[in-house]
Amino acid sequence: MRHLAPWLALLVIGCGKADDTGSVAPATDSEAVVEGDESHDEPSAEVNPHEPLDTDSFVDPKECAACHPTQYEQWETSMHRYAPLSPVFDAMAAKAFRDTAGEVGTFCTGCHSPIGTYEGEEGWTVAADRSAKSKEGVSCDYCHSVTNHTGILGNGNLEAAPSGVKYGSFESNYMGAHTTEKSDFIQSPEMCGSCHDVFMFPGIQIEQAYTEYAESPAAAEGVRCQDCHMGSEPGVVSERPIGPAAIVDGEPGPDRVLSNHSFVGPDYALIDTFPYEDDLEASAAAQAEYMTRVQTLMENAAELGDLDVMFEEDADGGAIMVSVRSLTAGHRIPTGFTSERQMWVAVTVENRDGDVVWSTGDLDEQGDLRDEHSWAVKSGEVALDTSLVNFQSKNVTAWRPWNEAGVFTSGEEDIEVGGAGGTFLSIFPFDALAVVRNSIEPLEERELVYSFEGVGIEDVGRVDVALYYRNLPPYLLRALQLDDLVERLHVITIDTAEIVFE
Amino acid sequence: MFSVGCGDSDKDSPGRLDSDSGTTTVVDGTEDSASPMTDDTGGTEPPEPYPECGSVEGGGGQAIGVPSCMDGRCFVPAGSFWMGSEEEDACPVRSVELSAFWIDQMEVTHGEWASCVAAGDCDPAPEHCRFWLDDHDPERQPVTCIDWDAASAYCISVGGRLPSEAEWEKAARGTDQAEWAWGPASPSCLLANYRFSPTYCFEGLIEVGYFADVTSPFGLHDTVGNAWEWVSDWYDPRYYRVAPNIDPVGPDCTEGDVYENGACRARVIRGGAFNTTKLTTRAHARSFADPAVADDDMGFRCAYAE
Repeated sequence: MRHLAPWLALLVIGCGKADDTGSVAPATDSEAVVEGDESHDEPSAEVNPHEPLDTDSFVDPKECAACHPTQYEQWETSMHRYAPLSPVFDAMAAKAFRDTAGEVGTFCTGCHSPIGTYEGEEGWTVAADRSAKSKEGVSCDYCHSVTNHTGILGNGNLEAAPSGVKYGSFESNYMGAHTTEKSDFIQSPEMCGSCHDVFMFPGIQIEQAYTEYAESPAAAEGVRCQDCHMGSEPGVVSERPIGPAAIVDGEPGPDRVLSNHSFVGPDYALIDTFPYEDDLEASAAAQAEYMTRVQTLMENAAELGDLDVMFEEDADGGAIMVSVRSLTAGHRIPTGFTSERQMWVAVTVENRDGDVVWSTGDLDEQGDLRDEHSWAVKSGEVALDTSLVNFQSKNVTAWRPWNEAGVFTSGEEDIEVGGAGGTFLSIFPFDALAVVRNSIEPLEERELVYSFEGVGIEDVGRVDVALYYRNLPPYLLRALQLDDLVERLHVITIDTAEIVFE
Repeated sequence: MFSVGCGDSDKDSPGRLDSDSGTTTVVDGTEDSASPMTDDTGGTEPPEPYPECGSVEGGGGQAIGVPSCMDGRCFVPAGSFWMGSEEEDACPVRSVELSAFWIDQMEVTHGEWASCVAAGDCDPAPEHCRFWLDDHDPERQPVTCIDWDAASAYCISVGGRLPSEAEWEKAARGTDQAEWAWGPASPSCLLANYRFSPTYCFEGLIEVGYFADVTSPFGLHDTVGNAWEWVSDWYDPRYYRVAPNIDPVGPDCTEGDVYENGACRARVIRGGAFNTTKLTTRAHARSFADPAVADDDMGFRCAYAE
């Protein structure tokens, strides 16, 4: 009566992904009581610590393409390029502006549109109004002009020096098109961590992919972010192709170990004009191809463990045991902007007539999980899914009674969920007091036990379990008035298991 | 008369105001300055350059006004008031002359919106935008998730219009450049529903008029906190530097112009909300939103001709 799904456990030293679409906002109040975890250095909300640069010095990516066509084509479809074009980013940045009275400044665009930030573009600027340079996003020359990070690692605190010198993995200046210097920094995890760790007032991290990495088994073994996210197979250390890194006037340069510049992570474009603004058909094909790599990434990130079902004699129900295993040694799953990321377990129990008699992890009519954010749950149309296992982080916000003067007497107890006053969940992290993680530790196996009712051993037909992933929840898009994008979301099936009762 | 430093230096560095304007121009407080949005080119090019704010004079900071409210509306008499602040998008402080108007004492509520729906003039507000708090009547919560067009249409349907930004500010702070709507006291959870610190005063929207004894100089409730309020003006962060000083109504965006500084992309919102910080509770604080935005923390009130 027990069936083990035929998964292949992939042996990997894996990394999930540090996301690109997240936006961050410090909710500041000049006289606010600062609460929360302040064990780390409190970062500055200043985003662009650098002097203004002559952004004309940044080379147009199309110029790079002349000699580095493969790298350009990979980058062209990447989320690094999509970062300043995302409508979700635009809407979240605008929301952050409102909720922080503008204090957020260019905190978000410092990573999403670094050259635009250098140009002095306002933080509320939307994709349609961005300059051509700004629209290049995390461009070839931006990364290859970075020399180091400044101040605390994270929040886009990178130091760029656009010039004729390009920093990379090789010392050579074989072709002479530009000077090349080998840079330890650009090859380091810290290069990635400079934007994939985001600290927000009042001392919470809303993105901590790098922090997770720094404490991970992968880091202990010397595996870098780039090893898993710039190889031939997303999410694992994989063999890399050998070939010329540049072709100048038809003449190939010397063979190199090549890095993939599509930086595959769990995000993907939600606009049909990406990556080719004037060719929707080609864009659709490119997005479909990209999704196959996202699928591979997620399958390399996690899997379901053994599935078992137990019935008590003469009982109208039973228990389902299953586990979720992280295959990733590099960080938690999910990672990145984890209050957006949904990874959940769906379970259905059917009777012999094929009727679903119990379920969890199913979606309501608007495509949301039946959790606290579901509008259908809030309005009473459907019941709260009390058995739901969702590894998404929660943005916890607190309120509490005040004293006779209308001010709070002490802040010490209020960071605690369920502490004095009360807590509720906010959709956006910049409205929150704490981001409470529920993600799976690197290589952790999380054991799950579900109790179900409605069918006994005599009438049960089958039990199905699935592990799903979605990078954005529909309720978030609707809260941003981006309803039209909901249908573009992909629910990725990471793994499935089932038991069929004869 | 008051002095305003208005130099001819280059456009400000983004998001920052250079207080050293170089030259000083005396501007008559009642002079109707030319709008930058109606230039000789037909409004398609931004004027060059925007003046800087420089040093300013202003009022004494008292919440001065005479409450005169009846049937849920408050009267704001004709006259001048000190508008603006030293904030980069609200400078310079200047004397603005307004015609008399009436304005809602409270934000428009779910109950009032429901009447509009019943009359066939409004679409139902999304159910998810209600907040179910103990001891707060949901029907008396400000209606939210209403975009600018719908808010404007509602006001017209009840014989009014959205207030201009200047009208809203005068009604909220009085005539003497008060920092807060209610007087000199710093904001607290006894005065407004906002984000006091990282924590909140309340867990969401509360019913209008909850702070029964807290009003603006002209008698308005809840100008600060609870829900943002749409006003009629388009947003331009540098508009105050060139705005007329008599009945200003915001940049002229009839041509749909989009300038580099973001003008004509967004409408002004005022007053902050339950989830915004102390900075937004200042009676002069400006913010903005795409007119199509319909957040659960954004409502409105209406104004009416004398």
